[in-house]
Amino acid sequence: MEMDKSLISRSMVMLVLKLLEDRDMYGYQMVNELRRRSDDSFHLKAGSLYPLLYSLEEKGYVTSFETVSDDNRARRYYHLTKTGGKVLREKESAWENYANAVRRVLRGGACCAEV
Amino acid sequence: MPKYETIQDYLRAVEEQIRWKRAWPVLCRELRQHMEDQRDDFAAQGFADAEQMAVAEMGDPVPVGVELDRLHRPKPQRGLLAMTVVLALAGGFLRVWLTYSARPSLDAFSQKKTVLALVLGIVVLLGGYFLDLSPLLRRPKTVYTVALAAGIFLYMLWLISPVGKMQYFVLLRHIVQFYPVVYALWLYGWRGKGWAGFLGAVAGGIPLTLVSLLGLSAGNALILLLSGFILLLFAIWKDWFRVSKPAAIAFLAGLAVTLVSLILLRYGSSQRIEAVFHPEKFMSTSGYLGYQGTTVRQALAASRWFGEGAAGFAPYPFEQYVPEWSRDFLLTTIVYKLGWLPFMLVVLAMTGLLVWVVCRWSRHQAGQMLVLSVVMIFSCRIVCSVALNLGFVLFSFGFPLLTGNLQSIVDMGLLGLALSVLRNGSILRESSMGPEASPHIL
Repeated sequence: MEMDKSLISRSMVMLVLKLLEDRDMYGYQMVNELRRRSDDSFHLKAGSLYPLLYSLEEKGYVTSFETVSDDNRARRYYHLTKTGGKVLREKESAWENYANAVRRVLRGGACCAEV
Repeated sequence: MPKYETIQDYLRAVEEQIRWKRAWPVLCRELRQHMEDQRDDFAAQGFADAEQMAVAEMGDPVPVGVELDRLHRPKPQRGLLAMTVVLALAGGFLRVWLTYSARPSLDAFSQKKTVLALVLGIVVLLGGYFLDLSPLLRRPKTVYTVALAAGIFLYMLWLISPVGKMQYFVLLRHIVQFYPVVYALWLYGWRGKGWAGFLGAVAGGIPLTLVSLLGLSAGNALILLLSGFILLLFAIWKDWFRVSKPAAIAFLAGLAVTLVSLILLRYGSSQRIEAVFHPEKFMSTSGYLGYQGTTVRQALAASRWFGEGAAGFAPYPFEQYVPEWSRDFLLTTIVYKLGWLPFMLVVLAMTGLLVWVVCRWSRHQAGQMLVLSVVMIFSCRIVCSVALNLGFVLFSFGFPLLTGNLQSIVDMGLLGLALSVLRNGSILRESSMGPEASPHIL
């Protein structure tokens, strides 16, 4: 099922930071990894990803460095900073609260929710 | 949306939206890498029109370019530029005005030469400000080699030249003042290379320090060592080398103790140290330092908060009594001839400029390192020059933008580089590093 684009775009910062939580990645890798983890639901356009990455770098949430990969190609990797990690945890927590609240409403109220 | 057939077409359309042309290669390089990866994946899956498909996957280039244009604009530093120029002009004015009475001796600064130096300084400042530092970041080791070679070359010229030796010597002493910036670039070139990178980064400081000492400039070598240690600590803190932080700091601490011991062995005789704090005891026995320290302190003791100090504090007039009064001890001259308040104003204004630069701190690590190196140079010189001018004489330091015409040009060049970093921060992206760059890459 095609996802609502506005839903994706609002959580994109969190998703990108989450991708970088375990390892440094380059843009193309992020697009593919997001697609894989979301079971092909999230199709992030590269044109949206790079401006987002630059703005995250400007805010100090990620840093970037260029290196040559095993296939002999130069690629720019992104690395989650401590500040970025903190922001990620805040966003995850806010997202959990929001999702739980939506779930409770959809299931008929606090009395009936299975959290 | 018009149809874009090739990667080149797509990138051209993106570039058309970005007004800052200097940002084009930096931004489009990554988009190109992305599309080439996508194209190769499609080709591996057997698609004949892999490139067209890769381009189509990117979406509309116009909004991408518009967004990149919004994110990447030069950040003009007009306020800092203006303050630098005002301080340099004030420094030039003070040099000429305070030494005017000494004409026609060599102590007096020529008005014409000072004006020429200020004009050249402003040109150098603007040259540094508009300089594209990206090529330097891409080739840090080349910059290092050229700077080192230039220092050695000048030293050789100084040694072998039958005439004009002093020109080479003076040039060498001023060129080595850029070495902390060169060392910052050198450190940057060793990022992500583990312990070998860390040791390479440390080792690179040795030849630079030796060349600084060749120029008989212990002060410049001291600034380089202090700056080098701070820059190394910064690099370790930012995890540039990807080595154990406690182990790297322990190594640096050991190195610092060794170096301080060597410096104390070379310069630190107990008599010399005592002469710094009690120069009056060594007015005649400990060479020039005791004499300098004593005369400066006597002049300061006769100074007022505002206005010229009391006459008759010494057997001769101030200008004949205090050595180097128009050069390294110009701050002392300000205190004696104008008062403590103008002295404090000069020191506070220069410190304020540095604080302002630090407040504009670049977000990008390359920029942070370069700005830090310049801030370290000026901080060391402010502190050491003030100490010197308060009568604690050990090394010779001029006060930034005040002492000496040629020195002011160098100062403006260094500040121009720092302001260039702040202006171009968003496109200061570093060079290639090598496959071992990050253990976080899987």
